Parts: sequence; structure tokens; C-alpha cells
Amino acid sequence: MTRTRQAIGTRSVPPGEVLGRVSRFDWDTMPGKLRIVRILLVLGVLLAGTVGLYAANARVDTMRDIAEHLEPLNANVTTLYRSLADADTTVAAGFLSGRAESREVRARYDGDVDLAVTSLAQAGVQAGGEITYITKQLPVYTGLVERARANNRQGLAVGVAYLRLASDLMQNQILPQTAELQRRQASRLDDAYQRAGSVPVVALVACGLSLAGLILTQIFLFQRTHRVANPGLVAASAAVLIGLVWWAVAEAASAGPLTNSHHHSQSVSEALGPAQIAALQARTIESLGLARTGTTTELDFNARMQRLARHGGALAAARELATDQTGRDLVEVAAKEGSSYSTAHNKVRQLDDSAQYAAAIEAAVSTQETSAATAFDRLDKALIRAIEHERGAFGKDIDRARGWLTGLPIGIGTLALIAAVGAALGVRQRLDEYR
Amino acid sequence: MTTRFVLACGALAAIVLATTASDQWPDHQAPHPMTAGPGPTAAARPAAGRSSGQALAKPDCNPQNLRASLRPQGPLPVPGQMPVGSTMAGIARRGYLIVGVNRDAQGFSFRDENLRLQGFEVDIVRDIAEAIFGDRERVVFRQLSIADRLKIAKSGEVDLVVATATITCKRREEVDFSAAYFETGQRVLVNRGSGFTDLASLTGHPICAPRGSTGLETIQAATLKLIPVSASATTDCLALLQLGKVDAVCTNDALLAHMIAQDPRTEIVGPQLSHESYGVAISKNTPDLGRFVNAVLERRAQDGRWRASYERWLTLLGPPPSPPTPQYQD
Repeated sequence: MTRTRQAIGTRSVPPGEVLGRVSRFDWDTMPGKLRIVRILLVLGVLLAGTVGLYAANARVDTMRDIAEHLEPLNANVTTLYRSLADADTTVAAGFLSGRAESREVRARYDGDVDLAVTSLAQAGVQAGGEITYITKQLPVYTGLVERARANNRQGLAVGVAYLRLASDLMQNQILPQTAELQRRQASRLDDAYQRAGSVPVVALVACGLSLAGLILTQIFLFQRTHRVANPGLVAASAAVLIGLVWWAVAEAASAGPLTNSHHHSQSVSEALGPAQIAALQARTIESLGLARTGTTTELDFNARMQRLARHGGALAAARELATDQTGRDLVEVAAKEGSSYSTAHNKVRQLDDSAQYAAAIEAAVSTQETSAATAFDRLDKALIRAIEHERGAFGKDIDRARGWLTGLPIGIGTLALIAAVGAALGVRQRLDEYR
Repeated sequence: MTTRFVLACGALAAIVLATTASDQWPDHQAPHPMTAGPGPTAAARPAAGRSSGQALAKPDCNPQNLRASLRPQGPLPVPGQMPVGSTMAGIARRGYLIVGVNRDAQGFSFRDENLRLQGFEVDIVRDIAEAIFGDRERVVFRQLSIADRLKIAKSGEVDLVVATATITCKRREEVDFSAAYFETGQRVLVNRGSGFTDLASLTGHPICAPRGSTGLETIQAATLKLIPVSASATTDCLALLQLGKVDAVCTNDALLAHMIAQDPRTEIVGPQLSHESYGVAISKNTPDLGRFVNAVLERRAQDGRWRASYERWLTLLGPPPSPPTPQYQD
């Protein structure tokens, strides 16, 4: 046993080879020194290139994620919430208006459910399991609404009971779940924007170190050989420098559009979306107030309209976030429609408070120009237009931001290879002089 | 010296006013439902309320004296000429009566095809409006949930609550009730052919009653192991029964009869579980209005309006019995 081990040991480490390798990479001799420097430079440049490539790729991926996945899902969930809430408001108002639903009410409800199902289907692809609950509950909701309608058509009071059960399901289960999804989605989007806009410290340090290495090597060689330029090393330095400048320019140029696109998505998810929801809630409170079924009061209505308001409310935030004149104009239009709706609502309350119930209902639900229904419709449409504008602007800005990063990963990779080859060849040129 | 004397007299007068204000609250102004909030009248009322509350919610409330309500004082005043300083005069000045009704009680208060509120209880409300204004239409209705109705009656947000409210000792601690205007009792509704025969056969099964109702108290208090399910309105229980979420509904038989009318595949089983009377709930701060309401109720029981209203809205329950005999206290 002992002999075998010794035999193996002797054979695996031949003394001559070890000695030879030591002599090739001997720091005390010039060739050895150059060999070590060459390996360090090539490895350093390749490492910097890899880190840079990874960082550039991550950035491009994050932006693609924002443009093709996170923002569309964010907008989808906003649409989902709005269409679900609108469906519920529409049905409640429809029951209020009389025994048989008007064609407009029916069409609006159908449109809402259709849009909700489409948004759910699209969100399902993107969000996976998170929307399972909503997907399961939506048919239960529509089932209850249809039962409510069928009973209502027969003049049975249990129809209103089904409407209440449906509304309860929507307001206390489905909508809170959707809001939760919306919150999660918005915070994911914010995280992605943060990643896309952060400074790639590791890549910068690696590039800086390899550039410093290349320059120090050239100074060292200049001192030893008094030759001014080494083409290989100069090319390597230039490649690293070009990479750094490219990165910096792409970064600087895409930062503006990226920030703008962030503002557009924030405007949708944090300002215009909530404004839409506040408006819908106000309209629901108005309907419930007329039906006198709830304990909600005028204070609740005013709180919702305040949440929407141009001053200190969601529309103020939307105005701040808008990056162009069209965006700001659309917000102003929505604000104007908001105050028209408040005025129309006050008319309804005034009639109702002075015991003119039938006139109050008429002022609330009729299709006349001055009715609260018309005013609400205009507010709703103004908000939808503003959201569509922001979404369109988002698309343009994120495309511009991504445009600046086009070719960055491939460029960084190629430049790293050029730098590595340059460094290897440059040092080898000197090394050859010792042969 | 003189100032001190004036101050002392003023204080004495204030005390006298506060203690006697219980029966005739001067310059009554019911807060508007939309603007109800803390105000000078709201702050002043609890003191007066307490004094009358002590007089009425006697600790010895029992099934015998449960229905005793404030005795009407003399004949009803001429419509449009309410006694100066009375609650009714305040209502007349406002121009309309504010009444809380049950938001869905078929036969009692419900909306007809033209969205007009109709029913046995709505007739009572319109008779009271007629007695005050000489105009049956001067009413603003607020539809209340079963759970909120007594809280809102107590708060004085509305003048009256006529909302299928059973008179109980516990509730009488919070509000005054008029004399009984309808007598009923709790029973159990199940799906036809479900095999349930009474409350006992429903052991271990979900059974529905509206939140804040005496029906819910019955099934919660039952020694049987029932699974109480509360709904926000009586008719919601029928929907839940149809959806198979509950196996039975427990409420007053008058309301159950209207459920059967909407769904003939249900039936009432078992004996009557309680004997109950509906009364108009009125804030303890307005006893003069309570006496006035009792006078209206007594008159409509005598002149046949009670019977006519019963025949119009409650035919499902069979031929009308005689109106409940009022019980009074002073």
C-alpha cells in the first residue's frame, strides 16, 4: 500500500515539469512578469466584459419586461377593476330606473363584462395563479345578476335580493381582490423601473479596473522599453473606453424617456385609475342614496369626489405626472367634467331632499343633457381618453428608451473580446523580444 | 346682587325646562337625514331623553305589559293645526314627515311597478301624514336595513320607523314603541320535499334570518345545534334558500307567506315559535309624537281603514282578524 502511494505520487508530479513552469511564470524575470501581466489583463478584460454584458442584458431584459409584460398587465388590471366596478354600478342604476332595464343599461353592462373577461384572459397569461380567484368568482357574479334580472322581470322582490347578493360579492370580495392584485402589480412595475434606471456599479468598477490595468501596463512597458505605443494595448484600452462611453451615452439618452414612461404608467395606476374608481364609487353612492338602501351619506359622495379632485386629489397627481401638453389638457377636461358631475349630482340631491323623488330619479338616470347620468358618462369618457393618451405616450417613450439600448449587449461583448485579444497580442509583442 | 339673582333664576328655569321638556319638547326640529350631525339640539337632547327614558323603560318589562304604549291625549288636532311647540308642529313646519321603512317587506312596504312605495305599513305612514298635513303625500321615506332600523329610530334621524319591528323589552330600552298594529309569530320556511318538519329536524343545518331580527335571536338562542346564517335583508334569505346556501328561513309568518308567493316550491313547517307584535318605533325624545301616532292608529282601527288595508295587501294571510287591542300606560 505505502509503496503504491509513493509510486503514484512520484509519477504525478515530475520534478522537471514543476521547475519548468515555475521558471516560465517567475515574477523575478521579465518574461515571467510579462506572462503573468498578460494573463491578468486578458482575464480582467474578459471579466469586465462578462459583467458588462450581463448588466446590459439585464437592463434590456428589464425594459422588455416593463414594455411587454408589466405595464400591459398593469393597464389590464386597471381596466379589469374599472369594468367590474362599472358593471356593478350599471346594474344597480338599472334597477333604480324602473322595472325593465333600458337597452343602454343592458349594453353597458354587457360591454363591461365582456371587457372584464378579456382583461382577465390577457392578465391570466401574464399573472398566472394570482387571478384564479377573480376568474372563478366572476361567473358567480354574472349568474346572480341574471337571476336578479329574471326575477325582476316577473316582478318578484327576490330579484332585488339577488342583486344585493351580487353587489355584495362584487364590492366585498372581487373588487378588493382586484385592488390587491393592482397594488402588487404596481409595486412590481416600480421595482422594475428602479432596476432599469439604477447605476450598474459592478460593471463600471470592473471596466474601470481593467482600463487602469491596461494603462498601468503601458506605463510600465514605456519605462522599461522606452517605446511609445504598443498597438495591441492601445487598441484594448480604446475598446474598453468606447464600451464605457457607449454605455454612458446610452444610459444618459434613455434615462429621459424611461423616466417619462414611468410617469405615464404611474399616471395610469396611481392617478387616473384611482380617479376612475373614485368617480364610480361616487356614482354608486348616488344610486344607493336614491334607493335609500344603505347608510352611505352625502359625506361619502363628497369624499369620493375630493379623492378625484383637480386640487389635492388624483387629478392633481395626474396633472403633475403628465409629460406633455395634450396629457395636461386631457386632465383639465376630466377635472371640468368632474365639477359638472358634482353640479348635476347636487341637483339630484336637492330634488330628493325636497321630497320630489320621481324628479330626483329622472335627474339621476335619464339620458337628458343635464342629467347626472350624462354628466357622469362624460366624466368617465374623459378619464378613459386621458388613460388612453398616457398609455400611448408610455408606448412611445419606452420604445425610445429601449432604442438607445439596442445593440448595447452585443457591442459590450464584442468590445470585450477586442480588448482581450488586443491585450494578449500587445503583451506578446514585448514577450517575443525575449525569445 | 341683582345679577346673581338673575343668574340663579335663569339656572333654575333651565333645570325646570330640562326636566319637563320630556313630554313637550319646545321648538322641535328633527335633524335632516342628509345633514344629521352634532348640533345644539343634538347636544341638548340626551339630557331630556334620559329623563323620559327612565319614566318609560321600566325595569319590570314583561310579556304582559310589553305592549303598553303612551296613551293618546284627547282627540286628534285638526290637520294643519298642530299644537304650538309640539314635535308635530316642527314636522309641519319642515313640510314633510321623515319615515324609515323596511327596504323589502312584501305586503308591508315595497315598491310597485311605478317605483311607488306601497303596503300595509306604508298605509299607516300615509295616514299619519294625513293627520299632520291633511296631505298623504308629504312623506320622505328612508329605506332601512333590519340591522339599522332601531339605531336610526333612536338617533332621531327620522321621525318614525315603521319597519316590521317586533316590540321587545330589550328594544324598549332604546326606543319607544307605539301600540301594536300587527300580530304575528315566527315560523320556519323550507324547500318542499326537503324532509324537514320543524326546527328540531334542522339540527346541524344552516338556517337564515335577517341580521338584527328577532328571528335570528330565536335560532341563535335555540338549544338545538342550528347553524345561524344572517342576511342583510329578509328576502335575501329566500335567495340563499333558492341557491342552496341555507336549508331554512326563520322569520315572521306574514313575511314567509310572501316568500311562498314568490316561490311556490317552498313551504312553512312546524308550529309557531313565538307570538310577536309590530309597533312603530319612535325616539324617546318625542313622546308627544308617540301619543299622536297612537291616536292615529286607534282611529284607523275603529273606522275600518286597518281592515281595508289588510284586505288590500295581506290577502295571502287569509281573512283579516280584528285589529290588535291597544294597551296603554300614562
